[in-house]
Amino acid sequence: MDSQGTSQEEAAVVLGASGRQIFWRVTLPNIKWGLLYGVLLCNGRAIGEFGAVAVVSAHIIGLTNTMPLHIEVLYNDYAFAAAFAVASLLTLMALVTLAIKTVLEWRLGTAVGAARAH
Amino acid sequence: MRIAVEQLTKRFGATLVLDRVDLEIGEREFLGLLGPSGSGKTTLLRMLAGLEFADTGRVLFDGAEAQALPIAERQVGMVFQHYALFGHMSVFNNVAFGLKVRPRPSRPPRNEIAERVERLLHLVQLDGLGDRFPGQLSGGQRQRVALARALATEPKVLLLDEPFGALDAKVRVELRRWLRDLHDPTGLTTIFVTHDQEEALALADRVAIMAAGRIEQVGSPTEVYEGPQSPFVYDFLGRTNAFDCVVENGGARLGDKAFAVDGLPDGPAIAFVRPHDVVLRVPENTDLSEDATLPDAAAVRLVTVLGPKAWVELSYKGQVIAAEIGREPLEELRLKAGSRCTVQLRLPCFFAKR
Repeated sequence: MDSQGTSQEEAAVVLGASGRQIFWRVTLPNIKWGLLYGVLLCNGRAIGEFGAVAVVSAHIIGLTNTMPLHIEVLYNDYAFAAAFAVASLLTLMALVTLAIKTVLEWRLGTAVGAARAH
Repeated sequence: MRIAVEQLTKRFGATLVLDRVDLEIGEREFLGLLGPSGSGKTTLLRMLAGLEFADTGRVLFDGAEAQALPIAERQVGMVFQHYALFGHMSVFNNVAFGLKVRPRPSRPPRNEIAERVERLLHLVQLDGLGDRFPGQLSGGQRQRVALARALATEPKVLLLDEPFGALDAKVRVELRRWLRDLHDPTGLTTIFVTHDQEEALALADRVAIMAAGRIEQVGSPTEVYEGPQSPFVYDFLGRTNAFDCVVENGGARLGDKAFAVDGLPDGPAIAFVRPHDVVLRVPENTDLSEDATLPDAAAVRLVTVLGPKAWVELSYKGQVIAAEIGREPLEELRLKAGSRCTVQLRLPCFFAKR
């Protein structure tokens, strides 16, 4: 957002747009790929978090849980089938995340390139 | 719309950007704000647009204070320096933006918007390019999209910030003429900012020359070019040769002639002469006209031929004199580096030395 500056927003103001219109029609479309990329990375971290949840939030079962923690609990309960099922699901989600990330990086690259072009 | 600016002052931190600026702009006028970078011209333009507010002073649109008005009600269109087109929107949507964001009661129906946008694209000679995106256009085309976008809301004032700054020389000259043709029938009051004196003089009805937050001089291009009121204005409007001289009893000596000067105190002064008013003659020539002639011959340092003109640099008593002469005199004089010639000065302009 810093590198894009405020000139498009200023242009919108002079054209008579209200603050809300500027946000939805100018600012948000300009940052949407960057924003989605950030959400996705955040999501990836959240799904896979293990240590921080286990140590900091005291690992309360049914309350502060993440998939890796759940896998550990299942495994320790000798519920191997369930543990491997969740682990497979986690792997799949990782692959999907990776695919979306690659697409987003590509879109972000073209968006930044287009913004630089003018 | 008539615009008046009264005693406008603006500070950014410790820097005084505008210093009690007074300016009046008439209905349908095409005014150029000319000045070096940092002279406050863009800040003044942004204040007229409503993007910046003055610390003190008034901005009057048709006699009414405009600074209290919301930007949308000022009826101002603006073309930004780097156009600030919406990169994620097509050309059509860029131009339509100002109409689409209007509140429902005053928003024209969809087909009317489309009609108006097509008309504007035709006006700026971009027919059929409505589906393109700004990233796919050339610099000149983007500039015209920005103009069409600014005109879509039917403003009464059009503000242009360095409108031709990012274009190459040939496109610049074409667009300049085209902009002038566009202005005349529309009834717009147009104000543009530029640091290019040639552009301002070629395009504007009147030029306001700014320096360090103040307006140095306002007048028609001919007035300011031929009657500059300060050394700054003279120097800024073109290339300059400066000669030291002395004013005594209302007359200044330059070369072998004395010139009557009005309103200059006795004492040291500066005489300015434009390079195209420097005349070169063969040293033995005794048939000298009434132009001021320097007592000794000058040595040629450099001759550069630029199309029909030649640029000659001479050294005269440790000073460099630049002369712009035609190809014919150049060939007659057979000037080349190292040759000598007599220098005559026409139309000098005198200022007291500060």
